[in-house]
Amino acid sequence: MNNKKIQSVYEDQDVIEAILHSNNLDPVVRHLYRTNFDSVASYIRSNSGGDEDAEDFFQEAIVVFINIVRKGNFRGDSSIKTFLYSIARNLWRNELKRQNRALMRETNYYEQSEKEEQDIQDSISENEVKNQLLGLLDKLGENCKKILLMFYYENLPMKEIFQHMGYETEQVARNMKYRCMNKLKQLLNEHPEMKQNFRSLLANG
Amino acid sequence: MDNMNNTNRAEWIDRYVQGNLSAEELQHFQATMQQDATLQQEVEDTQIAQALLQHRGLRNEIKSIRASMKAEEEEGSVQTLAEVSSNTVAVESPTETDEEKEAPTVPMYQWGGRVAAGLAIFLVGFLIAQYATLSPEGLYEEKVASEPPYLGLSNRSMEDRQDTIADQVRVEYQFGNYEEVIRLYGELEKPTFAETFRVGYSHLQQERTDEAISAFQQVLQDQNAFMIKDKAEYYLALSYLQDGQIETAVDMLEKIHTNNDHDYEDSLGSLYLWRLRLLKMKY
Repeated sequence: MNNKKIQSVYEDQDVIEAILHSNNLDPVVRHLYRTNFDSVASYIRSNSGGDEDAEDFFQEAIVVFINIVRKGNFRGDSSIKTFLYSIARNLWRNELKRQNRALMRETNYYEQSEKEEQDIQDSISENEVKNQLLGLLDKLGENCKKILLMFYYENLPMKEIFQHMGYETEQVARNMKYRCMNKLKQLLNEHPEMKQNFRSLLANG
Repeated sequence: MDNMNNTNRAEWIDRYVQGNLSAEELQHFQATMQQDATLQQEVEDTQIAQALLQHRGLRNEIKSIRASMKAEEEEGSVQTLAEVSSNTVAVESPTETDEEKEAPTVPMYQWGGRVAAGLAIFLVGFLIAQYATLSPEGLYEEKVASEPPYLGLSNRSMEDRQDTIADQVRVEYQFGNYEEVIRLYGELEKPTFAETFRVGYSHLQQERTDEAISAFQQVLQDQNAFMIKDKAEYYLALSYLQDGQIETAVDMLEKIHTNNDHDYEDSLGSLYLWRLRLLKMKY
């Protein structure tokens, strides 16, 4: 329908700028899918993966890529295409290792510096630590998850949140957010080891 | 920061963590934090929670963008199919083209007729598409998705008291932890209509329609529940819809719509009602 309109052409530098400074990730994520999904999917499919794996691991690769960019660790030594492919390849290799399966066809035609490779590995480990804790959010309840995501991810003001959630007043929304946050902290405290891993990640910046 | 209550303190911490303190406030906050180990701990916990929420938020956003892309691709292929079929029609009617060649001038009334015919075809196509895609589950989802989550009978008691199982039912319900509401409800010795309403709504959210229907019916039979009668009726109708009991659901929703005194009189638009009637005809 309007997909022609949003198919903007991005240079690598525009992608980085958009990830760092734009509030709207939609066009840049679409661009990353359009220009990189097929090659990653074909790599995964030719190495014992299915269509669903290709979708899941490409999505994971984008999360890792965005986090690397936001931390200022994408130096542009290689192109985004090479970089994203490499993240996805590493993620898929780890998955196969986890399943005790070997790669059938390794494609090493993308050059990667050691430093870049290390950054990617570090970010993937960080991503795994975060993923381990994601299940806790599902124990919060739908309303709690919604209100906390609106506040801490979308950065919406309480005035908008209380209207969106259908609370009677802004104060009710504030109280609710406070209680939900306490519940999340309590859940985190019930998993001291994972919380400690997460703390170390944050401390290492 | 002095003399602050818990919520207030949490707001200061949020503002610090999100980098929204002025230079003066920041200096004061940091000085307080150096002297207050508990505050330091709270800040660290908030940072961890925030980082986790941001991780989930980013994943959700990417997932939803991908879902939109796929939906648009599907829509695009449907459009392409439509274009192909209209081209096929054009190719299959060469006589018409020949006739047009032979008669270069077309009277205006014929054009009017063609436009009307086009509109009629479009309308018939629209009706057929509506009819073909209508389902009770679809209409239920559409209604529920367009409404904010129903939070409760009253927002007065928002405090964290969890002394009794009934308190816990209320708290978990407000959090939207519907499985937990259902579990705790089972432990209540004498549930009130308020708890029964909450468990009905929780069952509805978990798509356990039989249980939802039974809970809302129970609320409606309780004479003390007059304050929430309209709500229970509305959600009972939606439960029937989710359950596929179309006639009952549509009759109830029609009645709600025509009752000027009903709390949910305005919550059903005319197009929605029209589609409900169409659904009734279909099944």
